[in-house]
Amino acid sequence: MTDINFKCKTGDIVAIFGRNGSGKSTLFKILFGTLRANKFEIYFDGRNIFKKSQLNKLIGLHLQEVFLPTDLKVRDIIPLFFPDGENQKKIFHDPLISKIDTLRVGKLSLGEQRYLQFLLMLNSNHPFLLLDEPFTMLEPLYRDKIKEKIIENRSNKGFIISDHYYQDVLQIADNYKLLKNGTLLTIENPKDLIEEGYLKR
Amino acid sequence: MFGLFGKYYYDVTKYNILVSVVIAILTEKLTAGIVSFATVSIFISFLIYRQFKNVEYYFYINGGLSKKEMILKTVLINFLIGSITAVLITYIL
Repeated sequence: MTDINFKCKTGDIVAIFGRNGSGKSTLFKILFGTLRANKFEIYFDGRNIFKKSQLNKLIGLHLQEVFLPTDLKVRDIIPLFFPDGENQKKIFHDPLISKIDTLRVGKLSLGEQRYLQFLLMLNSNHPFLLLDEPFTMLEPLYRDKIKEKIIENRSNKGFIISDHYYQDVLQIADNYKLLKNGTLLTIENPKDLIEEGYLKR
Repeated sequence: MFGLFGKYYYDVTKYNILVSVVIAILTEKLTAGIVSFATVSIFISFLIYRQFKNVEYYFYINGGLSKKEMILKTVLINFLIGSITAVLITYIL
């Protein structure tokens, strides 16, 4: 990847499309600080952020894989991640979570695991969230819930989303990018995704 | 914050204890197991954790911990526990 640069403000929902192997997940891990790039700069409110610890406080990463400890019960993992009671309540009161809160994470369906992981990230203090394939392999009920929650929370967060479920992403994003041949192209109109060879004619 | 670190420490130390017990059995020396717990088994436990639970580091980093901080704390705690236990066993028993 070379010469990639883009902005994301609070309230933005930036979509990053790209074919398999184009480097979307790599880009996210570089932004999150768990992968090194030869040259990389990130600015927050005009301030250069160069410490990984600072970066991790500003940017959260929701992965396509489930990273929650599978041996813990849902009701134990929420207070572990949020010692603050107010954030805990928001998740415990979610109707899709309250019915599974006595189960171990490892016993949940993939959709339930990823929805729980998404809610933890959404309610975290990170002002910016990287969502790597939040919709992939999820049933419509969870996909709709996730879209709804992103829209609800955009007033206090910036989102950068990458997912091959492009219709779901297009419904909520207002800024589109395409990662192609190692560079990031700005897409003005979703139809350009066809011109650029990401979608079939 | 200790709770989040506590979960990581518990998971890594489970592997450390397992490896140390195996070493103690193989060498037929309790002290070898304890010394191993404070030294080499710590590093083996990180390798095992990386092999089976590497993705869980994202849980802790997103939760506000740094990987370096978690590893250093675990090394320090287990080194202290292992060293103190080894000294007690050597001089008291």
